[in-house]
Amino acid sequence: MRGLGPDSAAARALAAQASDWASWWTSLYERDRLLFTLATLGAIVLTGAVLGLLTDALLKRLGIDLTKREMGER
Amino acid sequence: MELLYAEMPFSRVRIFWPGLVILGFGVGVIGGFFGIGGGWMVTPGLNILGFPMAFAIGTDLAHMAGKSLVSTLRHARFGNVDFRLGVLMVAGTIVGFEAGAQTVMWLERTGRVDVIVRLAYLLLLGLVAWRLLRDVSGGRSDQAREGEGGSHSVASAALRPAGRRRVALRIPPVLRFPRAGVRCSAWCPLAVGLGTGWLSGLMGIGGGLIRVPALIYLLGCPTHVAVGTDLFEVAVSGLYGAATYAYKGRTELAAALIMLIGASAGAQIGAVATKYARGYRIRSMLAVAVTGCGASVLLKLLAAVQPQARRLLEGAATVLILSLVSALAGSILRQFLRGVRQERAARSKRPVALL
Repeated sequence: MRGLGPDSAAARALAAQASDWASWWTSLYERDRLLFTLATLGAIVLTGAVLGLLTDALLKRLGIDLTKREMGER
Repeated sequence: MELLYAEMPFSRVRIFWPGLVILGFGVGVIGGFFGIGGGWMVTPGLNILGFPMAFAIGTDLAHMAGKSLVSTLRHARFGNVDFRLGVLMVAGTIVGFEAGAQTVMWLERTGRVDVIVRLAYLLLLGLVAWRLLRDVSGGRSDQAREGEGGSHSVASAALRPAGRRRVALRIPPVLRFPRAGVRCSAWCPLAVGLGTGWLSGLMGIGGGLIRVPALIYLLGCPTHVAVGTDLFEVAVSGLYGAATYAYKGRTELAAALIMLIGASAGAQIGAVATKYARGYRIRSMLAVAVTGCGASVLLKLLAAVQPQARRLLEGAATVLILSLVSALAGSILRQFLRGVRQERAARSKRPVALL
């Protein structure tokens, strides 16, 4: 299975059938690959950091402090 | 039933999305418990769920990068990351990674990527399963030495050499790495980075399974610095991998984020569970899970050559891998919850000191 190329007519046709966000997302890739890559990285970093910190806080409430070396190094 | 399937915008495949949640959370728990990324389970898992191989690799790398960020920062704060060593290795890792990613793109163009990468996985999983089963069958003495809750590290279990030895290469330039407390040729970490980077790019694994033992036994790093520096490598190479695969249009961000939600919580729970769980028994279960993961890759390979039984074989592969991940993660989770409950009960029984 090949991915969508920036100039692919089939890709544009498929994108039109997709839901709104998916269509916007695929068209962003077609318009500007670099911006698409940066947006992907940004989303991953932000989600990873927020979820990681949230879990840390949740576990701290359970009495498990991952910021302490004894637990954090596990 | 329709609601349980989502169409991915780039690969145009319909995916059973609860499978992504199970895979993300399950591999997070398993990876956190054994101190591994678990990419060797995620890439075949995604491929078995229906992602074409290049998308499975790209999506796995994206979720892996997000998952490893917080634990990398934590290890850095504890002083477990040798940044000099890490940056030097990153140079090798990125070159190796891009070579691996280009190999995948070339294999994709020739139409052989699924078969070749699945065969590579069968080889890797076979090696890991063999070492783990050998470790389990001959590990009673280890158990006695380390205690029942002893070492959980799958990296050391899977690729532990006969003894702790150091390859003292002295090819110039010889550099000193103060945090790790070692002096070695700059070519050593570069070569380690290059090799593990190539495997990461080709198979979507973090490479810790090979990098941690290499840092310990080849370079002589203390274990905690090896683990911290490896996490730094996983985060950097994961981000680079996510970027290069996204640029090539082979990353499904929605799938990566769905998995990341489960994996972030799972990884922390798995890490904490090592405090309560019995390592030896779980290690035996991991050996079974690795073998089962290999079996599901084999079923997927057979489905490609047996078109009349394709649906049956693919269904069996999906059920097998999701059941294995759920069973192993469930067992770790059960022990984690029991441990937390017991600890809280003990704390509440403790007499309160009167001022």
